[in-house]
Amino acid sequence: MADYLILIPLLPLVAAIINLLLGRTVTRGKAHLVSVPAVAGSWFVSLLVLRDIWNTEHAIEQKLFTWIPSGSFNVPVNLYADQLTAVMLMVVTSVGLLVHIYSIGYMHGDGAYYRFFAYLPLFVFSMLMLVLADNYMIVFFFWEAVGLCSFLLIGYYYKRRSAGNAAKKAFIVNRVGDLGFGLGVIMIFWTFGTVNFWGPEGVFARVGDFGQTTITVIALLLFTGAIGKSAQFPLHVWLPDAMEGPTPVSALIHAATMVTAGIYLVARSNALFQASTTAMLVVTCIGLFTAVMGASIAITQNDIKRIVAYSTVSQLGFMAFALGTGAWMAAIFHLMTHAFFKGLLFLGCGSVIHGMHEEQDIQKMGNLRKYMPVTFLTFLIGSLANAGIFPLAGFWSKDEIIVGAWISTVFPNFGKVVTVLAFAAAFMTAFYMFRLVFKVFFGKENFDTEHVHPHESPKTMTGPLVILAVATILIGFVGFPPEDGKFHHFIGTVFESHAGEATHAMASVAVHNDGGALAVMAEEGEHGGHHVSLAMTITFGVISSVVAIGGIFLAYLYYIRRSLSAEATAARFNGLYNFLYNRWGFDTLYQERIVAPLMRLAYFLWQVIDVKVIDGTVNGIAKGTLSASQTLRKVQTGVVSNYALAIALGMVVIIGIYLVGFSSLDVPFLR
Amino acid sequence: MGELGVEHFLSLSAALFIIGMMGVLIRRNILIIFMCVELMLTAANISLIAFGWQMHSLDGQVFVLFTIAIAAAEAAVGLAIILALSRRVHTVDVAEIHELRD
Repeated sequence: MADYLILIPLLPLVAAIINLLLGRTVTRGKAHLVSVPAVAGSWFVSLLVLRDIWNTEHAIEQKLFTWIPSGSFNVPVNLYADQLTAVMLMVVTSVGLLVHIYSIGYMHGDGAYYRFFAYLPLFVFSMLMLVLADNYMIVFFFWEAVGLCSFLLIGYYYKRRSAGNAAKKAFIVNRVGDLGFGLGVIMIFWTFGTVNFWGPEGVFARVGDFGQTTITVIALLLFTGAIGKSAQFPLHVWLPDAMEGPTPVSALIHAATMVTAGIYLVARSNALFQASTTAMLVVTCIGLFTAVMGASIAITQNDIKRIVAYSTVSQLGFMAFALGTGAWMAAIFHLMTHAFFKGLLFLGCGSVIHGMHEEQDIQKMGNLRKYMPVTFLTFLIGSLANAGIFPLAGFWSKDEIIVGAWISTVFPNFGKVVTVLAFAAAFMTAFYMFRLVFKVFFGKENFDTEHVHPHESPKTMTGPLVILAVATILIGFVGFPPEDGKFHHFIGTVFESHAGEATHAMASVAVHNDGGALAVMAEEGEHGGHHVSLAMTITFGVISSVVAIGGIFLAYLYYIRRSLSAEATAARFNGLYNFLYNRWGFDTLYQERIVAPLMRLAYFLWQVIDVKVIDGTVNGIAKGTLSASQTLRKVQTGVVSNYALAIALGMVVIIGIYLVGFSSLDVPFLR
Repeated sequence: MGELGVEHFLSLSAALFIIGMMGVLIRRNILIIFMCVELMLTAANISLIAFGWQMHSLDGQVFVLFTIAIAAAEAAVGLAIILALSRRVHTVDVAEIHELRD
């Protein structure tokens, strides 16, 4: 029954292979005719999978083959889809499909059209395998594969130096995190003797058998990988630079799917994280810091894509601290809603950039709602969702994260601090989103209206925008009523089943999960006893709405009514402004403290160690041989007499030795 | 100086051999060198004959017959080489024949 699971990753893979092999000669400008149906097919199969899991409430499994059978180290390639996977499948294939359709219009006329439509399904394939994998080794493999696709697509315009540099930066920064993840996988095998997730011998079932310290180390190593991939502090620097890639890529990879892989990994490994308060604390702190930092940087940036990129960093921070405070479902819920509204925002950015003829500076835009009504409306919906305005997608999930932090049983006191800071980040989110909206779509035209004629984008681009906007409006309701929606009942089982198995389960995962989950938890005797009352839900809903509207209102005062002057404020808090504008100085810091010394070291290794020592030795030996033979070849005169003399002398010497050494021999005439 | 002994034959042989060898080493005309090589062969033959005579054995003489036969063949080959060489380089002076060096 589950044999169709293989189709989900297989279809994009086949499309990628076809376009890679035949792109140059056959498919060329029609490459999308291969890729789009493939991704659509995989979306449809994902839908079937979702339906089946929804109905049966059982995970679907499909065994393929054994990749590494080596003694006790056994790595099977199996597909495994449970509720969490089903949600990820839907996110990846839905946004993936829309981005594919959008790209038909956006990439039209590009010289390497087929290359784009080969990498994009290759990415979709890797991402699908990542979420379908049933052991850490395969997750790691495809973790690297999505990193590779990201590298290829950021550097898609490889003739542009900045794109090449951004691709390298993304790849290298991610290596730092991947090193941690790799060590984590090794550590898991060392501890558990297996890398498989499930079954009685699997990792998750036996977390309780091992010491707290071991589990903490493993969890932190895995989280290191997540820090890299999900652009958390201190490895967030690659994500804003990744915007050098084509905009659809930013939407798909660097907003909706790949960057959430880290969140997925932590959520998937929740059994490990639940067993370690230390790991949870680290996740919370890093997530919270990232959320606040990302939002504060976004306020001062001027590049439209950069603002949305820092917004992504900030929202990923929200997801991370939701995981850390034990609000697993809220994190995955936000992951899902964020995928839609951030995908929408990025595609909207692409539409604006396309319409403005590749202009990305928001200071040079204005009043675009007159020229691009569809883009404006959809972008507005995305911004409202990102700001967390009722009843759009972002409102439900962000609210749940904040409530989850407040009632967190993992950190009862620290959770309150988290909540306050989260509100601060939410306020900044609303402000920077509407600073962007007001600057781009309202006010007067800040560009040369004589020469620049903004235009609405083609149907293939606005179509996905409208679909995503509708999804952004509706998707929040799968989590309605808060804490007890269909979404929570569906995905809740993923996070419950392991709570009882962890010996150090200091908190029940399902802290704010009532209904069916409650009974399960009560049986296990692990329930923390927290329960979200309706009053609390409404209170927090009101507070976060007020915060969001406050942020929007402030932006309104600054950029529409102009009763407050942005320039004056920036001048007044000059130090702070520059600090934020320079992105907290992280890029400079890394450039000066890490990149520059490494470059100097590399230069030293090149000029001194390689050129002088290694090449010197090799060339020295060659030179020595050459000069020695130049000297020795003079012996070979070519004159026959000299050779004859040498023979004669040699003979004399030999006979001489013979006579002296063997003089006891009876040689008659020497007697 | 009494009876004729093997020493006299060997002395003659040694003298001939050294004369031949000096000729090979000193002369530059390739034909002379060739003749000197023949002289050295003859010196060896005399030694063989002398020892055969002393030992009352025919082995020495048989050896010499073989040597003479082989020397004849060698002379034919050697002369052919010299002929070919002189045709090619128009000289019989070994000091001028050093193509292998360069």
